[in-house]
Amino acid sequence: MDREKAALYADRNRGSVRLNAGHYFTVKEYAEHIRNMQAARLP
Amino acid sequence: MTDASVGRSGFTEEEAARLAALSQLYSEAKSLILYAEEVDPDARSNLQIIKELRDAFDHLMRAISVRFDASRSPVDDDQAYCSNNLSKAEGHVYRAAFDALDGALLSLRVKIAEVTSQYPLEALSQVVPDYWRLKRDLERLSTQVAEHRAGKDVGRQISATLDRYVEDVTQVKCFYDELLGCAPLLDEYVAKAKREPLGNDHRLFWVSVMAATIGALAPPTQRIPLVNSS
Repeated sequence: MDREKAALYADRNRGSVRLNAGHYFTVKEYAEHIRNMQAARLP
Repeated sequence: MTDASVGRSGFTEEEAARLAALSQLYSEAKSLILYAEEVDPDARSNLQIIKELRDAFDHLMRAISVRFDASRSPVDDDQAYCSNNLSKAEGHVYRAAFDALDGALLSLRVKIAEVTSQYPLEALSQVVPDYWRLKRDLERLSTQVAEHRAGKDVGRQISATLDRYVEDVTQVKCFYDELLGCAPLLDEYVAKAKREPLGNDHRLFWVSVMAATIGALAPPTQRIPLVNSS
């Protein structure tokens, strides 16, 4: 991992916009979400 | 514990070094968490990741409260307690990073599946370089999700494991970018494939018409008898 790039990306007063807006998965919802995503098939 | 001297911050030199490493790890984990949020198809965060960060914060505050408690003297018990809590804080930040990578990987998989589902397999394998190898790698990584973080202890290899996982996810991201870059060529391939069978049909039709016309216009003597009359 490029540590400098990662630090730069995480800096600049950035926080979780999604959480602030209330867009989040609960643990149970996320488990279901993971299952759905794993089910996506490639040709 | 070799160095028990306590600096002005209340932490030993060793603890201060570990705190510096933890802050660096946190900034890396945060960048991965933000990326996982950005790439999620539903544009939602994962509370499990935030819980890991809260747990890390809890352990960190336990270590800080011991070191900033003026009524305590720096004894070995405190050092062991601090060291233990710092290790646990590191472990939780690592798990937050692994969870973020799991989410990012699967989100990329969904996005890749969305693009590939629009094209026939023949077009993908002809146009996208190394399609089969990339698909095989993606399948392997998807089944390995959550295996990377199965070991909860912070060992020497955990940093290397995280770096490897970041490389794997970066590779999948490159695959997705490459796929998007190939989209015009894929469209062209599909359009050409649709045109060609039509062109062949047209050619076949006109050859048949011409053959029938020549046959009809030819004098009866030049016609090849179907049955020997003699």
